Amino acid sequence: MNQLKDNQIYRQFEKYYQPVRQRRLKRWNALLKIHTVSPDEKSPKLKRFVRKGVPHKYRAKVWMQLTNAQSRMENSLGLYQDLLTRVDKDFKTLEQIELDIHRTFPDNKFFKDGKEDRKKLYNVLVAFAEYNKEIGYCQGMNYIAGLIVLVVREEEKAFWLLVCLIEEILPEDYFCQKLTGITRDCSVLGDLVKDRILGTGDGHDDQWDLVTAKWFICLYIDVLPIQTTLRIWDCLLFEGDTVLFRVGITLFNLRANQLAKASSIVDVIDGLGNFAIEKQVVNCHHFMNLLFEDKNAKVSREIIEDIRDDHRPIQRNKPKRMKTMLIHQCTQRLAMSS
Amino acid sequence: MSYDYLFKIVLVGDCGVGKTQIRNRYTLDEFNPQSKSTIGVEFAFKTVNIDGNEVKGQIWDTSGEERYRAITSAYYRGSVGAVLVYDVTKPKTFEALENWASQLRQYADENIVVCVVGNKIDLPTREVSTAEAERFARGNGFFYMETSALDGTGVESAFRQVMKKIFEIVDSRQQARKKTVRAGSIGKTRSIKLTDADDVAEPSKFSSCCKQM
Repeated sequence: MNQLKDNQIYRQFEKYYQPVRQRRLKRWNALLKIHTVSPDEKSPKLKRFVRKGVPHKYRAKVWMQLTNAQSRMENSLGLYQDLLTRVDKDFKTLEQIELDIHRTFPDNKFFKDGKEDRKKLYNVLVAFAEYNKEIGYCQGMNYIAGLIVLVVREEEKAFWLLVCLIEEILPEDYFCQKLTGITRDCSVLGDLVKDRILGTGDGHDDQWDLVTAKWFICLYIDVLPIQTTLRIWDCLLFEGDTVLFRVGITLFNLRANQLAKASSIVDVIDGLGNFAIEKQVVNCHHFMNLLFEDKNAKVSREIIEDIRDDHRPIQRNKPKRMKTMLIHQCTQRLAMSS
Repeated sequence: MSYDYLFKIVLVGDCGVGKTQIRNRYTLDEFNPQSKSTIGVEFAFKTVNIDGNEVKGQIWDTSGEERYRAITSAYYRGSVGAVLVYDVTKPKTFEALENWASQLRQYADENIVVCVVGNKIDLPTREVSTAEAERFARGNGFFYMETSALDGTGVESAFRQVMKKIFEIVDSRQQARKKTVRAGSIGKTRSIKLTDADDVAEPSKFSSCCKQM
């Protein structure tokens, strides 16, 4: 019965989304004739287009070109193959990666036993672990690399996109040994949600991390429906990690009523429920509108960095942060402190 | 469904030993050959009857990934039972138990009831002997069980043993203290809303009732 209802949600959505998709494809066909896509060409027009979704036909190309993946690949021809040949076969990490390969999208037809994508995913993760030994491999990266493989198809491209995502787009401490960045961003999201939605300004409760860590570790893969995740990733690759907070706030916002009654972490998880069968999330077009139109979900990089600073035990990044502060904020601060 | 007691029980052990499969076998009587890596934390519930009392087990399941230990102190909080899983075909996962046990000692109630579980006994390639594992369990004051999440062997009994022991501890204290510990207060986790500053876990109640073990 539930299964039937779930399918119905998806069928209704498909019926709605099909013409939207076709319309978007036409607009993109026209756009790409006059607009180049590169990390240096982030026009407001392109931003608008990306927020409305990159057509699947162009997604691989756009993802590669929006980030530095395409150029880094072209500047390091042969490196990917080198990495794969020089991997130490006793590498402990290989064992862990192997363990997770068959546990990544097990019900996706591309990742079934014996399918080529499993091998691609394995290679991409092994090459990354060899390339960035400090990060190596951390569970969750299997989903991230898996999604990239599903979209870009070619493993060398997938490798470079993974490199750019982890090294350039996400904070550098996300997948480090202690997941410092992830736990910090869970706290940042917690603060935003308590402040804007739940209206409780209490200090950080580390049980929150148990709920939202997966959102940041997997960048919403296996948390939200795949179409919705892909749309979020379009924006993540274009606009950066602030979009992750917009998504988090929007999800809590959708469940504000249920969460108001929550008195334990189990209630919170119960209250959040399964987003994969939530109409408002399955309809990715609608969900993305909420993300960018709801004022509760609006967050700027400055706000995020400010709250991140509150959760950094050692504020050694402070001077760096000053550089990114806008002039009017500095004046505001000065005015406030005087 | 109503219940008399709520016990929080955590599943711990290395990646790939079958924690999620054990949880699914216990709470749903299912085994899914297409399993996914567990990321973050998942729960399941099962209520059993112990000596005429409805006892609800809240089974917490998380990844064995080493880096996730950064978030595990919250995972252990309020737990009164633990199922410590290793894979009988992988000695490394058995050797890791020492580490997992010290995690438990560090973050959970010092008198937490623990059952060591050797999983995957349906496989022909066993490399850790029952005697060796039993010795480890006995040395630490833990129970020992062998299971196959695939065919179901031992899973129910492992949890039952843990729940029964917790129940006995709680019950004996209650006899003495006249039911100071009521449903919900055991294993109750900290309120996420934090509207009441005092609404925090009460492992102290548990530890005081366990101290006479």
